[in-house]
Amino acid sequence: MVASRTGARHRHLARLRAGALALAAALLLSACDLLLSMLPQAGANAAFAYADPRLETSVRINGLSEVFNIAVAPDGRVFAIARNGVAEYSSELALLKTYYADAAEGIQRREDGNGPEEWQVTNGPGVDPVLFATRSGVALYLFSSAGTIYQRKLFDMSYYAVIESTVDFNAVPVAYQEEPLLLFDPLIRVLGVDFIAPALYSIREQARVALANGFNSYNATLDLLTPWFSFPSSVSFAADLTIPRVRSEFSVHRLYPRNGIVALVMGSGSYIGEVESSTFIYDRALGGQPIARFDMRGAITAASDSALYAITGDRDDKGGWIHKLRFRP
Amino acid sequence: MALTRARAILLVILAAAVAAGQAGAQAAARRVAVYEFVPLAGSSAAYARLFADSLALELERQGYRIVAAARLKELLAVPATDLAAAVAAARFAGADVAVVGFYLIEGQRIRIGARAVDLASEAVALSLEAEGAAGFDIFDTIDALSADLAARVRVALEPVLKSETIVEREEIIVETVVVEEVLELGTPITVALLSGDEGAVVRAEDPARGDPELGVVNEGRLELATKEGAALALIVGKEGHYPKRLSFTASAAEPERRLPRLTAKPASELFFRAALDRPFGLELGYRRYLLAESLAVDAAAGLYFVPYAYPAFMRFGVDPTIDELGGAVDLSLGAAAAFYPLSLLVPSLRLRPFIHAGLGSDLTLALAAGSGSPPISWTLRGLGGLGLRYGGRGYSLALALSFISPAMLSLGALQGTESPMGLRLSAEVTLPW
Repeated sequence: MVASRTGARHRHLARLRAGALALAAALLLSACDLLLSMLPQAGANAAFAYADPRLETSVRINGLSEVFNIAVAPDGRVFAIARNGVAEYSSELALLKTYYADAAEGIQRREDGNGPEEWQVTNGPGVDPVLFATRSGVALYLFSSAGTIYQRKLFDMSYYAVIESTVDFNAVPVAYQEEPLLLFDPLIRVLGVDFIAPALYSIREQARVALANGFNSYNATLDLLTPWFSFPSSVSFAADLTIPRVRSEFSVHRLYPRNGIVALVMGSGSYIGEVESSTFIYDRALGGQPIARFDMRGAITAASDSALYAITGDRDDKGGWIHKLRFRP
Repeated sequence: MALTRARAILLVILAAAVAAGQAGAQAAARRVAVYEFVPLAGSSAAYARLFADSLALELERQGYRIVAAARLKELLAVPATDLAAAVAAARFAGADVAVVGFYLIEGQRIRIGARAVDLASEAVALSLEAEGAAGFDIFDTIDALSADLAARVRVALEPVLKSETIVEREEIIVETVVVEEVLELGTPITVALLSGDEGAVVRAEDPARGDPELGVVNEGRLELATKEGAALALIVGKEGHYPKRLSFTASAAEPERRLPRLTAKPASELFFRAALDRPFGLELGYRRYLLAESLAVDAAAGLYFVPYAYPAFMRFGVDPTIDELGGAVDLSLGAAAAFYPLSLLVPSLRLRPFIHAGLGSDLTLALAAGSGSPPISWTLRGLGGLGLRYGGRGYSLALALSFISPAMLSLGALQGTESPMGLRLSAEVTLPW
């Protein structure tokens, strides 16, 4: 018990330190943004970044503590992942079911400095869903009948991993390790899987333009990697993507190839409270300029075919919010 | 009855003649030379002769014989600063008492010094210093000081007339004549005071007399009758304005003088405010001032249209996050307080810096081009910053820079995300309410 309290205190202190550093860095970096916010367009951007007119629904996450990530299933269901369980929502954010993890163990989470990891949703044995963490290799088997979670760590660490749907408990995911992948194609920045096709896509950085005040813009391509469920042997062009002005310290975090669109998340930070991100929605066939952009602080985003979902955690770790935003006002 | 009255009159006339004869016999032993007083330290020379004449009149009234001023001028052409020369000249003129003196005008006060020398003994029989009010009252002061000095001379150099003789010579008419002569000594001039503050009241600065009113500015001017060289200290005031003080020396060479413009006291006012970060709209508010105009509280309501994407020339290199047509209508309500620290020290300042803090809420109705009902959001934020206000005649202009805090309360917004801070540059015009 004492060790547990000490550990919790250390965690809080570490979080406070990280928060203070992030705040100082954000203040420094945002000094320019603050000055710009006097101007009409920057002022409008700042206003709509919080009072976003594309916001459709917001729901409060109750009963879960230390909310830390989100997963969106190919069929549109949304899962809020917390330290002590998972809440399942419909695509309209109606609460369907809450699953609780083993109280002593809790759900492992990963904050490795490469941004929040993508959580995939597949089907486990029967019809129960399985959530899978693409970098930490944790699989959460959700049992709807009992409302419990069976947690299994399938491997230690990878650059990206995919677990096929309709697998059994012994299914082995495909793990794409960083070194061989970058040897295969050094331009690859992130991978993402489309479970409907199914297909594996990558974002490859083609050109980077340094802009004033610590911002960059990029030209990138969306590429199809084949075969999809093993180490790729070929890359084929899918679309050109233009990444508008983003902070130069932002890296590519996640890629969501969906039906008709592709969502690209760039950002900094890994802990949900400190994540700062820009999510770009592109027409998957046409590419080019993004059809929508979402700039957020303190939220992790994941896209479905027609909406962007953002999850936030309370500062006291006692709950959070899920927001659903359409792509256009 | 008539015979009795005639006899009484005859007796009085005889008594007066005897008394006059006695006075003349005794006064012959005392003949006084009164030199012009010497102005010091750049003081106006206009009062040099006035002092001497006034004193001579007083002495003469008390029975002394006075050497003619012109005779003294002949004998001593320069100011009587050299006592030995003054004594020698007085003796040559047949005087047995010489009076020399100086005066000094310092702001609103006049200070004099005088000596009376008994030429028989060459001893300084009297030496004194005194001071009094200058400005408009300088002539009264000269009167009073001269009378005082004459009385002291009389004590110091033995009265030449018996007391009963003085009683019989006491004639109010003589005093009246003295006053009339004094008034005629200054050169009367008229100074026109020009002012843009119609109806302003001009007063002489004289707290002892309750700052007497001199006149009211009418059609932009006030004619002020005064004397050449008079040091004037004035207070210009008007209802609802801070009073201003000024002092100058009246001179015929400068017949017109412009008064300083008065600063209106801040009062309840309406204001219209525009902000650079949301230029399509306006805020209207009401403000009251408290605590000697150093604290202001206001409430305001505004209506703005905030487009998702401004026209290219208004973007200043910033790309819109939502690059779509349309926008949001923002109903803004706010309340704030501002503190003007310099108003406590210099209330009549026209340019006044201030710091301010308050709360602002925004009810936003987004115009959705594509789908669904228009989203409504509400946010409450804190505002604080600093600014500069210039107050004119009833109106004022202000520029303010405000930090806008992250949302403290909100509905219909992205709860849990960090709402960004902002900076607002606003301009304001006020009208008195």
